[in-house]
Amino acid sequence: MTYNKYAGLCADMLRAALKEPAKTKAKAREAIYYRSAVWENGQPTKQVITDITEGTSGKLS
Amino acid sequence: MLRHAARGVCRAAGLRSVSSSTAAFQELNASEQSKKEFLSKFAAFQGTMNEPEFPSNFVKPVEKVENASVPDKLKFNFYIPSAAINQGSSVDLVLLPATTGDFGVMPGHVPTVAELRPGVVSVHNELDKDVTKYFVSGGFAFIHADSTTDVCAVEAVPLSDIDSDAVRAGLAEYTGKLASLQGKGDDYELAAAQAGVEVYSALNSALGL
Repeated sequence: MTYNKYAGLCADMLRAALKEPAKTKAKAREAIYYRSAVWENGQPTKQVITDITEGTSGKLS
Repeated sequence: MLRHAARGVCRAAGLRSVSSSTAAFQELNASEQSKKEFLSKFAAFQGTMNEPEFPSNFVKPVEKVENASVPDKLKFNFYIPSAAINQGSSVDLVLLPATTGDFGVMPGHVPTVAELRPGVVSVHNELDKDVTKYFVSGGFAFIHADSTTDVCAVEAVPLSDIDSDAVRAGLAEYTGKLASLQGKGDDYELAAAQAGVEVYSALNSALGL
């Protein structure tokens, strides 16, 4: 647990407790999607796609 | 024996009211007039010697700090990653929930950096008359010397957007998780459950449930 994870976790918990129109808008902000690659000798070797669409609240790890 | 000597010196110092504070020293400073008088008397004995220095020549003049004018409204910036809720707004008072306790910021507040805990930020556009409350999940507040206040939160919502049923359910859920994890479960799960209890308790009290 780092500070960043803790701060993100608290924000997710808050978003989970919102009323409907605000909730869907906020949930959209929660999604994390990025693709990262490890480069070696100028070539990308491993591509990792990180896709967290529901946020981290409720999940205890 | 030395202790007696020290006591004797202190008593003598008291009698002569010698103090070492710079303020008192400034008062005891030789004035320009008395310096000139001394130098003129010294001239008779000077010969090839240099003029004597006075201690006040080596003391930097104390800068008289004019009371930096305190603005009558606070310049308030309130940011979350996705929006600027307040940008350069002029407000009277902002109440902030810091990890060290709640405090209010008015113009002239001492420069501070405060870590915020999950809680309510109250923005008084006009003291006690026009108040907007937001629940923040955490973040930081920076109060600068010129009374500009920056509050950076990870997530901030108006209190009206919070669902009371979800808060009650969440509080019960995380309290249960925390109780069942006591002593076992790894550190991350325990920390997450504690964070859940903290956030939902704060939401609970913010809504007055």
